[in-house]
Amino acid sequence: MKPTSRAVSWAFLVFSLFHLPLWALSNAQDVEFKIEKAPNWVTPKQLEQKLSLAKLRKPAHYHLVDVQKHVATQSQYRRYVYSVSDPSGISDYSDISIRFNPAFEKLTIHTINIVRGGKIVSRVEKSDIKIINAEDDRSNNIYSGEMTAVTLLKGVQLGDTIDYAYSLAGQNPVFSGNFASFEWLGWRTQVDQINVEVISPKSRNIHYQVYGTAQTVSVTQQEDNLLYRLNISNSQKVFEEDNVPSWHKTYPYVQFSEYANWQQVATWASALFTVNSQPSEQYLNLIKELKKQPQKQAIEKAINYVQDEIRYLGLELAENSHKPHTPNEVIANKYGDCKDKSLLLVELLKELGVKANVALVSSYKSKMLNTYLPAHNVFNHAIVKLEYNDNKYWIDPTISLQGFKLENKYQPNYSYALLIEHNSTNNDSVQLVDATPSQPLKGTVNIKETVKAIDYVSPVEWIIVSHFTGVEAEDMRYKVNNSGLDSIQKQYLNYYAKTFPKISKLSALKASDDIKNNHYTLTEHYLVPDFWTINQTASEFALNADYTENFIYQPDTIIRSQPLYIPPRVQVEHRVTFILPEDIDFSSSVTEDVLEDKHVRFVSNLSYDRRHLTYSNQLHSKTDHVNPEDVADYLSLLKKIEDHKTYYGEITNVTQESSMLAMQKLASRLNKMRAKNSPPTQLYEGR
Amino acid sequence: MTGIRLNSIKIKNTLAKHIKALIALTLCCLLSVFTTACSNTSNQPANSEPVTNNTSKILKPVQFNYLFETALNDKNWRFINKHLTNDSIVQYIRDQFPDYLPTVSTTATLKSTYSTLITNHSLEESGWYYLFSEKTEDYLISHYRVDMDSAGYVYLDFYLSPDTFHILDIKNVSTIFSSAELIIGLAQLAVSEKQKSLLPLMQATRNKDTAQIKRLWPMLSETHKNNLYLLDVMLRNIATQHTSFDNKMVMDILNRMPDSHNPPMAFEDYFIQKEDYDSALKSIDNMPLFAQQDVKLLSERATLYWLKGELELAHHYAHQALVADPYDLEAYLIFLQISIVKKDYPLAIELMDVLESRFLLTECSEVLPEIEGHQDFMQSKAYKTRNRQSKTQS
Repeated sequence: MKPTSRAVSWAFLVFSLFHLPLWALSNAQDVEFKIEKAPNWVTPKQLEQKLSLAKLRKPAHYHLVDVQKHVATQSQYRRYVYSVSDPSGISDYSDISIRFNPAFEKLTIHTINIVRGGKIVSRVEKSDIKIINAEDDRSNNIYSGEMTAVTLLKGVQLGDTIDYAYSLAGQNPVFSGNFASFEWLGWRTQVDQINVEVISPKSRNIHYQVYGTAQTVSVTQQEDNLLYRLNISNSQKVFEEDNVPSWHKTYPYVQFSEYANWQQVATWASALFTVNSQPSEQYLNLIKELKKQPQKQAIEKAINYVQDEIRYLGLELAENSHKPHTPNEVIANKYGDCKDKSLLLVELLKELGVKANVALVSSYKSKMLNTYLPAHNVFNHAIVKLEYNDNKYWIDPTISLQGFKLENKYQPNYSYALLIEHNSTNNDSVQLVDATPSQPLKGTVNIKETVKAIDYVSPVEWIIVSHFTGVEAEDMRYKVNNSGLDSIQKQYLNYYAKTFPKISKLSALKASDDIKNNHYTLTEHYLVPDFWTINQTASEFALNADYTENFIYQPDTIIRSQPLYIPPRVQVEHRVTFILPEDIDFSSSVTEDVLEDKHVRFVSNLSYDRRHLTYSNQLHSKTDHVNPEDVADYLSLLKKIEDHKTYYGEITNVTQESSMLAMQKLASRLNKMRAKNSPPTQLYEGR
Repeated sequence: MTGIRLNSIKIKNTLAKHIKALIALTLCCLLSVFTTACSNTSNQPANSEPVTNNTSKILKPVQFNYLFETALNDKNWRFINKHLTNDSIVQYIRDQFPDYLPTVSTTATLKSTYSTLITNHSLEESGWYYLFSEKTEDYLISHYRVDMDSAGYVYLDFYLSPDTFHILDIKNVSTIFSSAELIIGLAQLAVSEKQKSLLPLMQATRNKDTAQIKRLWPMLSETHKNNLYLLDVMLRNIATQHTSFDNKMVMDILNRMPDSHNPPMAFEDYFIQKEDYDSALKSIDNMPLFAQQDVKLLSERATLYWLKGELELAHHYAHQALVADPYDLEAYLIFLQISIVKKDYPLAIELMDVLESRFLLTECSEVLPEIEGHQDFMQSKAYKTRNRQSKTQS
């Protein structure tokens, strides 16, 4: 099921794990809730005629989803009615969870009934409901203070109908009473009736937008209120396909917002990001240190300080879901979430004379953000826009280990941003701005393998030099720092062993980090006894240049109605150079195949140069998605690309070499003699 | 796909030799531009016309390099000169040195420098060996090794136009600059120095007037002494006749070398003669990796470790040399030497087995007397057993 819509806080990108600060959590046992009837403003909905078990959809049949919101009292009412029609339905749908934030919301449960044969057979009492901490973002270092009221229903039988309703009163004060709401109009299951209502005083102008359904919002007057209503009968089941870009609107929805334009959202946010406190001594000392550097280095140092020395931790309790902690607090605590870090960085940059703004973005809606109504709940993240030497940089202060130089840091593409500008609050022209970074590529991966054969039978030396830049370097740096080289070595070795079970390492995996330029290099060195496949007339070999596969997604859903995600702005090259024992003419095998469409360009090349036989595959992604109508052609292209991942070759006449046996014997002795701690061989990375 | 082995093994009856950069021979030619530029700064711009070579267009880089290697070994000047054209050189200067206006004189100097450089490396006993090529965005760089017999090995990079394979530049990888970089750098230096302070030293270098060089060098300003072009000239000059210079001056020049060339490979022989094997090894570290991974430099490393008495490392690099080129006779002989010094006689026996079967050496015992420690080896049980078995088989 799609989860209940909740206000999303501006913190989601997490790059490290820390200890749980228990003091940050409320005590679940102290949280109050009531069981009483629904408030007067709620209009009860009548259910359709009861269906026989045979006619119920499996494993659960949703009869009603009813959401009613009361703007004046900042309250919302929710009711769900469904029948369990299958044993798996009983298993999956007999637990009820209601999420709320006791810091500003009061939970009232109206009913939790089990209905059998038209009669209520079980009513849930207060003692049946347990309140537990709902910190499910804890692993992401985000603490919201939310709770879950959990009810484990007893005695549920096949054909039973579960009918529960509750209301939440109160709104996070950080929104200053401004109303904004999203409700889904489609679920992963068919629903007989979806009802969404908003009751608002006439004096408050509510904007609305419906997406993905032909139904429209009806507006009727009820005394001093306006009732906005949307009712959908027999909503269609929504199929969520795999590898869909996050910005794609898969589910139909209705959005309500009291904001007339982005200017009003910016004005609201601007107040939250205003620093009123006097700078602390720690803050002033930091500025003093930064100012000792030339401006460019000071900028880089400020960014690195916020990214790497302020650990990521989101204490998003109550107002701090959207209101940042002050720079003084963040520096003192040495932790913060996206908005805390962004505000601190902007303040530091301003002290350095650099134009900088906090930029509100959405990691999910990204390129579709401008299609939503202006509202405070369309953003889920904050970053920093800075201008230096006529260049714009979009820096994400929650990413760590990004390298030192400003221009080499990977800048995520959030497509649109709302800039927080304190001096332009009266400017009606405030709009979302283009937040596309000027960096042409997110990152590059360059794998250069060298296979050295001493003859056509004996084990070969296999050297792999993997070079990463941009986001790929940052990912690899993070992975190595977190897991340790030894774990990665083990992982890699076992992966290769699937192809070459007798493989052994000749030297330990080596990592070389050029953090200044944000480059990362891994070097591996193996001995592969089962490289050659010997038959009566020839020695066969295979050169795998298949790293590009990591950037090509073969979806599970082939016949699609939703776009297919492609990793954007990536360039990958995988090159395997096989150094043969002697000069063998492969000129007749030399080929170059270019497979290209509007989404990707793939170049596969086999070249021969004296003793060097080189097989290489290059992939360059041109876009971030494939439209459903193009998927079939795109997948046909991927199939052709798939055919190029390995080059198979063979060398004939190997047994005619008079020294073959002597050489084989010598190679065997030498390989046995290889000292465990043999000195590192300098590996050629030039080809 | 199938590749068929060819029986193209060349047997060279050579023992290990130290690598010396043969660069002094071309120095006179390189320096002529300095004096030319000094005496004539108003040369006419050279013409640049599109370069076409219909016969080359259809060739792959490897095919061209095979032909070129043959031409170099056969001293086929007709073929070589066909790939040395003014137009290509002019275009190269324009692309690579946009601040420099190519003159007829500079172009001619470059062309004749390339020609001289090739000639000087094409002695009676020289052997050119094409290693492989790398493509840059604009050029094809073909790596060559030249066996200069007793003078050692030289690694040269030919910068070629990717379609026509015209020679655009040549770089001895032991030096700081390529030929074109040095010539144009010196030409620019000459203009900027107003023909004065450096001219006497350049003339002395050109004339190989060691006494004059020794007299003039200390008189130069620190700025001049640290000038990379001048350092490259001094490097080329002193490397091949270091015995003529006192140690203090050699060290003064070496200490001023950029990190990438400190110490330079051109001084390997100097260090070896002083039995400073650590510096000799460091000088190899400063070679481009393609050269470092060539069989000859790996064997060189093995030899240096043997001379240092570090036999495990000597063994390691001798093994690496074999992997780098399992058909290089010299690599086997060096490995044989190291295994005998290491008293690893079973390994020595197996190396001899390959030597005899692969290189058609009927009797390894012919080369054994030249190997240090051969007496003990020949008295060993392993050697005697092998000899007995050979006689029984024959």
